[in-house]
Amino acid sequence: MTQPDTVLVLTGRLDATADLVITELDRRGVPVFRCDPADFPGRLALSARFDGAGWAGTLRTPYRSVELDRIVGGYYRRPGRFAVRTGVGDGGPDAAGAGGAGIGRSGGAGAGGVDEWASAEARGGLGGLLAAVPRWLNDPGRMEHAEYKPVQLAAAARAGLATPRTLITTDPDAAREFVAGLARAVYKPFRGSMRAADGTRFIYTSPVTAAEIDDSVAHTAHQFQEWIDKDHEVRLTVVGDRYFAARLTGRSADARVDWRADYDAVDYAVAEVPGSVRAAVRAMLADLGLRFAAMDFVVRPDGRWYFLDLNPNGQWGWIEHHTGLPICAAIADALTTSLR
Amino acid sequence: MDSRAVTEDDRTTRGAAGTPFGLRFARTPRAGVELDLDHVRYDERSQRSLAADGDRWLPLIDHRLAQTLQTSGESPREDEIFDKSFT
Repeated sequence: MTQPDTVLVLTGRLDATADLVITELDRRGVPVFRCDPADFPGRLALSARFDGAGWAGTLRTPYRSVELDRIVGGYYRRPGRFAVRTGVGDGGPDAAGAGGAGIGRSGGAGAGGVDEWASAEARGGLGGLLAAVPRWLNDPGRMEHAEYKPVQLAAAARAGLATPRTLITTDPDAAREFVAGLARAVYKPFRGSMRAADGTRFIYTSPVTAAEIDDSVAHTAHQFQEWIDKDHEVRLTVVGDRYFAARLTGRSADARVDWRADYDAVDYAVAEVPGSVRAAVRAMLADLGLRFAAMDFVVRPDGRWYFLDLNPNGQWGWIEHHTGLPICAAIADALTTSLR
Repeated sequence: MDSRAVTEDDRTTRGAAGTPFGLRFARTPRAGVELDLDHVRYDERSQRSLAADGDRWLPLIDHRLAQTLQTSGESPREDEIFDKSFT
């Protein structure tokens, strides 16, 4: 019996956002196969063959299976890393750790031994087959590229979006000179969180003055950016050719600088996207090869939109919750394009 | 492009002992994510998570935890907070 067309959801077991989409697909009667590369190979088995016409085979968990050639779309959410534990010989250091996109990226700095090799093989085999899945939202390789902030700024400017002046440096003198030359400036990390012994710390966008900058800038890459005066911010979620814009207005000092710093002090409303911004975003996402993006804009008091940031795998569930924008349905539509 | 050999001194950052500048802005989040592993489990049949609500198990997306976990990509990674021992 031929298996029905199925949507693959690649994520860990605790992912409320993926749950929303699976619930919607289930409501539509679309079969879903959810799995996590971190479960490979113990609880996620694979067998596939290539006969010159395409890959055919099966992915299997203890509870269900899917034929590779029945997968009509893939939703890339928050999969864990390949972390094969062979239990044989020198397994090498734990390869687990935080990572960006790229299907189940394996290994960490200094990892070695049998387990590292086995994890790399897992990525090459299963990861390679998953990479061949049609119609990812988003394609993992594209996401990995698009996650780089310097790539985003350059792509935004090419597309015609206004962008803040930005410096990335390890040079304290360059940082001081750049910040001193601006009316106001912020420090903005590339990665907004850090694990500490007693829990996770968050690093939000923060105002900075030239006098504050010291030689500790030399320890790693630091990003300084021109502060754009804002009337409000917009979180623009793009799914295919559909735009869902939410106006975010901070009610506290922290939320006005970076709304992530104080979610309880943010007001939400549906916003309109100017035609020129819409066209530029379309060009930018085509340039980056993305079908989905969560984009952050500052809207100045004069109404001009400035691009700040893009997350190719950004959260949207809470935006839908506050505004009623039908983002989940749009994602379900995009994942089942070939079925309609 | 101008280039030259890198000496040992060049590889040592100024003020080497200490924390990178950016981490002076690190802080504990205002609204933390509190998850008791005994109160969240994955349902293989529905392929969704459930959360304990008294003596019932509700879909996680219908639970107050869901919005916290969806907020802005800062949700904890699954490997931090989910029991993967598969009893």
